[in-house]
Amino acid sequence: MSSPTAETSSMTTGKPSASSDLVTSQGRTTIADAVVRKIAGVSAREVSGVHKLGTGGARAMGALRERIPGSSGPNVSQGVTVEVGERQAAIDLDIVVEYGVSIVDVAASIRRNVITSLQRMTGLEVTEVNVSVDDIYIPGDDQQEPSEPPRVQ
Amino acid sequence: MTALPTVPDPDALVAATLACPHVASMSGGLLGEVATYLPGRRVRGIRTRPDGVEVHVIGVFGPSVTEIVSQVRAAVEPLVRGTELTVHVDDLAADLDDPTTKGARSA
Repeated sequence: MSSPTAETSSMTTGKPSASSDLVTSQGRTTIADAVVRKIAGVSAREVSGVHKLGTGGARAMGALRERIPGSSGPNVSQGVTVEVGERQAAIDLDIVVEYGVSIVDVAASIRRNVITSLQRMTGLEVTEVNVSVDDIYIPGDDQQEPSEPPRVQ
Repeated sequence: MTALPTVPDPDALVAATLACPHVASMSGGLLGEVATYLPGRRVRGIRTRPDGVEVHVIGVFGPSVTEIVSQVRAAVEPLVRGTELTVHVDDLAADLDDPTTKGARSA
């Protein structure tokens, strides 16, 4: 099981290593919630068709925080709630999708990407990924972009 | 451990489909929603569902839809390995400036 060939083949087929790797007779490996939240957040955001993560309130707070000088920029784990046990993890995601995508297919793709990333990086078995679509993004209703050219050169 | 089902490579399906002479291009549907949503990009015209694979194409003007579909099916079927394959012809590319399509139309 620990031979290098077995390791490579399990990586290429996308099959995760055994979850018992985290709990061994020589000691336990624990993974903090924040780690799982970040991995899930980044891998969900990567999927094409996902505009943003987070519920309405969290997005508003995030937009405010990003404007504060010296803040650490966008929070990657916004919109992600996790429950992590010794061997397993369950993920809840709040997302905003882009207009014109198939939500069913995007959700399936998020699930696949989040599960693959988490199982490869942490070895935790992902029991479920619940995706809740909070809003839909329509291009052009972004208030961030200035519509008028600057008055001074 | 949750074992994810293996899915056919959407890029390989697109390459095989576009190699068919009766296919003008892939079709994304009305809104461009028919796609495989991958991290960072999407592959137009291929939809992979647990119950099968859908291939959406825009055919060339001339051959019958049956001919287009059977050509795509022959090219793609070996790649999906047993899963149900549905081929949709969403549109026909009728290029009126192209003499070959004009000829096909009058024939």
